[in-house]
Amino acid sequence: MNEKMRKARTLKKISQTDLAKKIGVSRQTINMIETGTYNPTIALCVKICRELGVTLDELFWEG
Amino acid sequence: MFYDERIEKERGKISKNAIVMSALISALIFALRVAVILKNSDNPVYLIHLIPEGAVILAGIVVFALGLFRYLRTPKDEYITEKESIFYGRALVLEVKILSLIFAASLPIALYIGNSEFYIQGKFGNIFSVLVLSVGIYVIFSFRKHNIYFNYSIMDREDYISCVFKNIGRLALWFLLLFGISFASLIFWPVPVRESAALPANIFLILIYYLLLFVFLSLLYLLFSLLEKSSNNTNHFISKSALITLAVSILIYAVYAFLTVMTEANSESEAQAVMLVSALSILKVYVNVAYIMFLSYFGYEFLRQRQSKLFSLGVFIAALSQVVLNIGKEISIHIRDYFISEIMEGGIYFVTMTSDTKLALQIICLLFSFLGLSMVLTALIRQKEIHKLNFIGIVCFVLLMGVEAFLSTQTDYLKVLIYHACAEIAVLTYLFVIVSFIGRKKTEEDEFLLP
Repeated sequence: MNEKMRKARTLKKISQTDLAKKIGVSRQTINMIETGTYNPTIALCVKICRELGVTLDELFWEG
Repeated sequence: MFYDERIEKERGKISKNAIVMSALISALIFALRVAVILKNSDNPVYLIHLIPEGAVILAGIVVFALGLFRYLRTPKDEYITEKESIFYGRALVLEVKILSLIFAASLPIALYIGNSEFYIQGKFGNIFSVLVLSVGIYVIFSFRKHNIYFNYSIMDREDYISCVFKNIGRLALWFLLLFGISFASLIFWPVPVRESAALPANIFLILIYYLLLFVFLSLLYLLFSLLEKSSNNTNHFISKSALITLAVSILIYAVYAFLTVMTEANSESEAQAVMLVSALSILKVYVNVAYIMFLSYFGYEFLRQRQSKLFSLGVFIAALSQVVLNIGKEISIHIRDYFISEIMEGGIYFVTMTSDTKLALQIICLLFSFLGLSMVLTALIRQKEIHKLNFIGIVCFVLLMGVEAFLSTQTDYLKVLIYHACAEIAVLTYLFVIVSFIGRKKTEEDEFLLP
């Protein structure tokens, strides 16, 4: 479960549908990334980070 | 711009499997038909009937070989996998387009060489229904399994419905092009025209065929789009759209049955009746596809939300028995033709599906449907979704299937048609009542929301 991404998105007050529209993917893909059932490529991670205004480390680094 | 890497990746895998599946199924039918044709005639010109199957096999081989050539030699990293997925996804779309053009061009050729009246029934409609029922259902189910909507690129758009209608408009233009190609092929094909194959009659036959095919595909697409949108918006899997799908299926089946019976009763010649009934059978294929699509969708969602494996397994067994029955019918026709066939005047063979083969297939289908639906009802009763009395419904269903199986042994075709239609409509209506009952109950309690 990618709680960091869900939190970052809710902080920005963006719905899954809006985020999906902004980065050009489906809502289901955003949902699957947040629930940890899909592992996105680095290109998609960068797009998400840009939209949410956070860095890759903040959102996806689990160390 | 919409580009979803997850969807592209899954779509590529599903497309690759679909291409292989369609090539293998076509190869099987191709082999059976070659055996039948060569047994009955020394003239190899009749092999021209095999153009559609041949084209599917050839396209499968070409796409697969290209895919292997381009992507097998390189180490599979993320980039190559993505490119490979895009390749297969596009290849399937291109293959469907090219194959439909080849089918359109070959349809009139076969009307000239061979028996026009039995051509569509014995061949074109069957290869279409077999591929739709096997590969189409696989694609729909796989999409659902991987959380991909068929209309994924337009799903979250506000003008969703108008986009769906635009797609139907594009389909209409495509069918117009296909009819144009068939028409041109009919006019300019350089082989001598058989006396019985009158040009206006053939043009009319092809026009009716394309019209029905267009109605079938656009209705299926429209209903499926509504089903998806409804599921996406409300997260209720028993949505109004699901009920509409069933209701429209019942209506279309009733129209099909009425037209078939009227055609049988009023046609001047048997050949004319067979020709029209064959064209009408596309509507019946629609009902089968809608029914199986609905069952698969329903079963999958129930498994995901209610965690009832018994229910889902039952649904899949019931749906699968229908698919197997349809494919089995097609294959058994050719096997029977090999052993028992008649050479018709001006034609090559007559589709001889004898009553015992049909009866055996229907009994197998009956047993599996009974098993599947019993499991469904047991699961629903255990979860207190419906009352135990609904088992009476399944007993009636079995009785109806039994009556149908018995009727297939009878010789009065018109009576069989009427009873068969009544039985099918009763089964679909029963399903509709059960589904609407569960849907109403759950909507009131609001328990069917996704977690």
